[in-house]
Amino acid sequence: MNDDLKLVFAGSMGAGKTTAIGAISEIAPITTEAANTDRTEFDKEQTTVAMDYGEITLATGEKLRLYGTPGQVRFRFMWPILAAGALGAVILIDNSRPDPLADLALYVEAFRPLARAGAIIVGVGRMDRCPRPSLEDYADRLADLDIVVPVMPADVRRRDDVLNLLEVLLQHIEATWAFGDDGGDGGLSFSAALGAGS
Amino acid sequence: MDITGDTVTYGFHGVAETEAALLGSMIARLARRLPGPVTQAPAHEAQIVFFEGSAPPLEGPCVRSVRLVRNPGTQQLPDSLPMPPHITNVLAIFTDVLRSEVHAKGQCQVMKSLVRALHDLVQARGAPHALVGKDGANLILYPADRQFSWSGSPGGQPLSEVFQSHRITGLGLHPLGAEGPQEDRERRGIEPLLWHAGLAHARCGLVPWVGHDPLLKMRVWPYLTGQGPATATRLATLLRARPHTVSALADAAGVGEVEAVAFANAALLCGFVTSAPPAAGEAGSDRPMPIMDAAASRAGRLPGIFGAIRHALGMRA
Repeated sequence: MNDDLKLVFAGSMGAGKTTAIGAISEIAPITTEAANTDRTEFDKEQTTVAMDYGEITLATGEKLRLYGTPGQVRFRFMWPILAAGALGAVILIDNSRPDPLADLALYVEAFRPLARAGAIIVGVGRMDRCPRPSLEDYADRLADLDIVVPVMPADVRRRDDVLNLLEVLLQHIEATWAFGDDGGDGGLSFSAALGAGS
Repeated sequence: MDITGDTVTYGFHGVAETEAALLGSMIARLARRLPGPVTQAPAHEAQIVFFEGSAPPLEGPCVRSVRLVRNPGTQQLPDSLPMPPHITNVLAIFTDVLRSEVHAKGQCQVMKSLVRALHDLVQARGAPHALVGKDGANLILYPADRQFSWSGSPGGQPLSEVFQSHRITGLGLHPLGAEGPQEDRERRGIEPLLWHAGLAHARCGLVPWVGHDPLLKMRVWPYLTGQGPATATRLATLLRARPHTVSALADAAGVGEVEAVAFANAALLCGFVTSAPPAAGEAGSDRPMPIMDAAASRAGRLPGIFGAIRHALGMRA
């Protein structure tokens, strides 16, 4: 049995994945940042090119491993690799980007198996500065994509906001687990669902 | 489902059998002199609960807890009954509760009419209307745009207070004149207004157009869960996972039915949730895919994992 427990933080470049992991990881996040050569997508000096990593030790001795995906679309091939076998995913959207709803659609489609399984949550950042699109717009867009998952504002610089996202994600996963099959013959492996090896 | 029933119920909690029999017998003899019907019920279902001071707290729909006081020297508190009981004291308790129940029932009729009118107006995407209260609450509804504007301002009266019980009887919904609204107030999305109307309707049961305890199915994530009730997110995650009736949802979440009704009303009014007769889809035709690896599931690890993660992050379970 693979004892690894994994949570994935995904989202557009600059949405705060590295910051969110840093807010809750018990180790200093390990990042694979490089100079950002794509200033058109997001104007920052450094960006994640492979993944971020943090971890939390549980009382059982197991590690909850926190992975941040690279935000640039050209690294999209890595998203299912990192998501394989994940307990759930936090998708972070930056509301100050030119088309946040398109970002939402991109990431929800990429993580659709997790979304269908009730194991993602969407956190929307920078809503204080950029209130549009609204949460209603996000909820409606998700419904258009035939996905119903929690969507809430989040400032990932605040640990409480990150914990709140995780609490709702855990409730969401628990509820789905409680009413799903027990994983017998009909059980779904995330690895299989995502079509990637772990 | 109408929480405001016709009959007022009473029960005993932690009270000795002989005292309960004495009080029960007295109440039965007084029943003819009361302004409405009363009947005995288990304490956890009763509206008036007579309790012994040392009894543990009791949850339920109780609207009046009455402590039995045996020491004649003790100052009598408003919600206490000296023992042995006197007829006038018992009569006063029941008369007061019955009158307040009649008042609440009258308010519920107004609330039901108002919420139905709001619902119909928004569904029909009708012409602009004003929601006016005698104390000056003044909202202009733009159903076609699913928006409203309001004289309330940040720091002033919160939206949640518009539908407080003391305002309800004075609230009215009126079409605006043919000239339409002449105002420059900021318009907002109508969902928060509908959400609070739904929460306020909980004291009167489920919104009237959905029938008795229908099956609820989530259509859109209810992003207003932060506006209450406190357990709205938990109720939403459970309803997202599978369609539920309100009573089943309350059971699954471990919350009182009034709280589940409040959430259901708010979500139904906003259109986040749809309703169907209980028989439709009860078998879970839209059952979500299970999320866990089969091996993990078989080992029954997940509940322990959730608890361990919460513990490690310092979250409350």
